[in-house]
Amino acid sequence: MPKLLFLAALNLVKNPGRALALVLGIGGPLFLFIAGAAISAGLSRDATVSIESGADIYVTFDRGGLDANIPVSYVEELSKSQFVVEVRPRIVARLAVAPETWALVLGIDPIAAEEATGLQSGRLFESNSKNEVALGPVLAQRLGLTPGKQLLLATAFTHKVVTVVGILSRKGTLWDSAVIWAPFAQAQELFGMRDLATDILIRTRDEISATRLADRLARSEPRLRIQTRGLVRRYVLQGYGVTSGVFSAIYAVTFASGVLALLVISGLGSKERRREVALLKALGWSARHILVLVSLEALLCCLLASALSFLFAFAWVRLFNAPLLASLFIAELDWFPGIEIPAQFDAGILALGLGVSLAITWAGTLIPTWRTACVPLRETLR
Amino acid sequence: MSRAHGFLIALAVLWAAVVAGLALPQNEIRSEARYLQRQWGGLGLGAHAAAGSCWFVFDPRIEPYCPNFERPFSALPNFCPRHSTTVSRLPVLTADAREPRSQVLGKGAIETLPQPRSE
Repeated sequence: MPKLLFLAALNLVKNPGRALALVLGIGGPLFLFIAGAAISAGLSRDATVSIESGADIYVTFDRGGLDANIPVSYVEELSKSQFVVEVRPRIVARLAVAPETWALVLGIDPIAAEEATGLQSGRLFESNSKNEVALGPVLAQRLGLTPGKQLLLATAFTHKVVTVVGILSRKGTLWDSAVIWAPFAQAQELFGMRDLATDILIRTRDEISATRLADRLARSEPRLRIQTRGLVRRYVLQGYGVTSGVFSAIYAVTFASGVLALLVISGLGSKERRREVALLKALGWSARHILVLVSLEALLCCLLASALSFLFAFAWVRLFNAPLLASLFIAELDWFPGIEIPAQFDAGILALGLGVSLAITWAGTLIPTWRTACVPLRETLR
Repeated sequence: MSRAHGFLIALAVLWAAVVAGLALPQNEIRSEARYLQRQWGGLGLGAHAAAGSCWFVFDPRIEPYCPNFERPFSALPNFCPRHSTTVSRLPVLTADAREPRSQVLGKGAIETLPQPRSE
């Protein structure tokens, strides 16, 4: 076997054009696949933070399957429950702040007890502040805003001049990037939502309390849409499966490129391959040995392609922050993202990529080689 | 040393670099992320940075499904340029999406259903 491995390597070195076509044909889609899978895994990890650090129950009104605003009076009502530790109303809305630039306006009062560690510069506003906001790092950079500068927020209801008092850290999650974080009352005024909230966040004593309260609320008030942490966890994390979304497309591209590579090695190079097989047969090689040699050659190509793809993907995402690439996988992101792109490189993804490329390459090389190796030498040479 | 040996050694070095890359500590969850998510009660779940167009893929807690599922041709799966091209494909986030309350009834099943309460 070591001798065959050496001969396979020698074959690759002696036919650099064929080897290069195969490595590029497989390595290109694998690079995209590994980078996309790593970004997906990183986002999935950040989504877990969002779920676990979030509320136990989200309550809003249901309007035929879509969310509707909920009266703030529910806050007081819900606070009375024995299961509840904390109830906070929240407003989530979007607002165009410049041409083609959307901001996510988040109206929620800060938890004063916690030390503000999520700021890059400036400070956090007080809950009772009338015109102070904190900005996400990408939005601040795009609008050229720093702490102390002012911004006019205009809606159909009001025009409001606010002062930027803090810029959020770049080391947060992807979703912080374009946020305008304001006190709840200020967001209510901005969007004309007097006595209304987008949703109400409930923190309960424990998971059992959350389930009991959710059941009780669902029975007592059918207009409410209630989402527990368990429900969100279950439904969202399955959305990050590698077989869904863009990966279907990438698999298709991988296979298409694999077919191209297959054509190169079995079609375009078939004459050359036939001559090699005939020569080996003339030297007394059996069909089994020829097949082993060819499969080792393909294995070496795939190992080279997957190692190179992994290293390029790793460097592109981790060292350079995935320029030109992250925006293919994440909507509404600039070509050169201003935030740290979450990514988690996994041996499983690499093994999957290697397996797919091996399956394609072996299918493309072994069948024509077997057909050539099984006919008599005179026929092969003809 | 022949070229074939050189190739095999280069391949081994490349794979050693791959293993080293995998062994490196991945960028861990930072305290800033935890702080902000706690402050906001959890915001953002999908592969969408700004929520400019599709709330559903940004955070299905805010909008349980994408309105493009229904428009412009209802009952046909429609293309949403925002969420169809991302690395997350989130299912519709409602409690009854998997276990709906409504159901198709078999023959004669109508008699077995509980009668609605009269007010």
